[in-house]
Amino acid sequence: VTSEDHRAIVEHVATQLSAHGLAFVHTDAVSRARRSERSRDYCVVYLRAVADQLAFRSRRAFQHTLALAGEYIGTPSGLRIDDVVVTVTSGESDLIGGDRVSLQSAPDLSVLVSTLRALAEDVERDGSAESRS
Amino acid sequence: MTAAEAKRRISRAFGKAFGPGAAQAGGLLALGDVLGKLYEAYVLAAIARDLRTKEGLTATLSTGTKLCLKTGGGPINRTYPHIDIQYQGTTVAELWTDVFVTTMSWARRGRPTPCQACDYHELDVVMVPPDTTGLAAHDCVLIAVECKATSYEKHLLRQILGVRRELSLLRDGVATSFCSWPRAYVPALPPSCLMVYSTDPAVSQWGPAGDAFGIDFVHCPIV
Repeated sequence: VTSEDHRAIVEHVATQLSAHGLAFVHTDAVSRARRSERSRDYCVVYLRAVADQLAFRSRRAFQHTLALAGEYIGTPSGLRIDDVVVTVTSGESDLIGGDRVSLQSAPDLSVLVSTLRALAEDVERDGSAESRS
Repeated sequence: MTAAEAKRRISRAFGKAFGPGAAQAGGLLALGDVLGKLYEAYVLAAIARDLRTKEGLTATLSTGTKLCLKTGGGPINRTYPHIDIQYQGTTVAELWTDVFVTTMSWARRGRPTPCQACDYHELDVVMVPPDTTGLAAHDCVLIAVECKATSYEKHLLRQILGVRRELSLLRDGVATSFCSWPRAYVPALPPSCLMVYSTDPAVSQWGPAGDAFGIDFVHCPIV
């Protein structure tokens, strides 16, 4: 796998992330990869960092938020608050009844993280074998 | 391994992680927005905690079991869920998120219609009297809160000082609607309590300036 290939792979990952609503990663990942002279190692490490960040930050914050809200905000039925939902609105035009985005439905990215890690290790191993040969 | 094979494996990994409903996953907010919205919900819950423990009030979601937040500001729309604040079983106020509040400058100009962009500002969390609807007037705000899950820099201080200017005039020792929390008295008329919650510990450095105008800076990390 050449460094050009690596760049293409990183762009592919960025495109995938973008397609899943994580567009902010796109430009960052690609531009940082392009800046890097040692794109191979750098990209692998960077992808790990991105994936770890995605999995960690939103889930932990979400759990803390639900716990606090559940404890101090009652519901008419006496049940605990079970979700945080973001209703998509734009200025004064309410889109209630339209799109709603549930933060709780955010996928568990741990599988993705471990798969990307394994892939990164494969790529590293192949790269090392290639340079030795 | 070829690049094509690596790409296939990456695509498979994403497909597996996000499941068959890629369209649903596509609707998720960008991470930055998720954190901002989560922080808003967290602060809302922290306010409910303090109202209960320090003021003896209770907070009840108006409908359902889901805490709903909006991605953009707007007038108070009573078809949205909100939080009723009650004292001994009677609703005494309501908490809303992402609400447009009309400015004092607009009121002083005789409230010309239609409202221009300069005539209202969005606030992250607002407490108003029960049954408030539409754009909340500056003189009906009981508590106004800005939430920042980012570093709190000086330009944000200037921003909140501007918000205070559009909510109230400087006047010493005016009684608020509260016994002690957030404040029993503010140097502001109308006497709204204005608060900034931030994850940045450095937010407290702006306290002295804020104190002079009745703005409280609260370092509130998600712990």
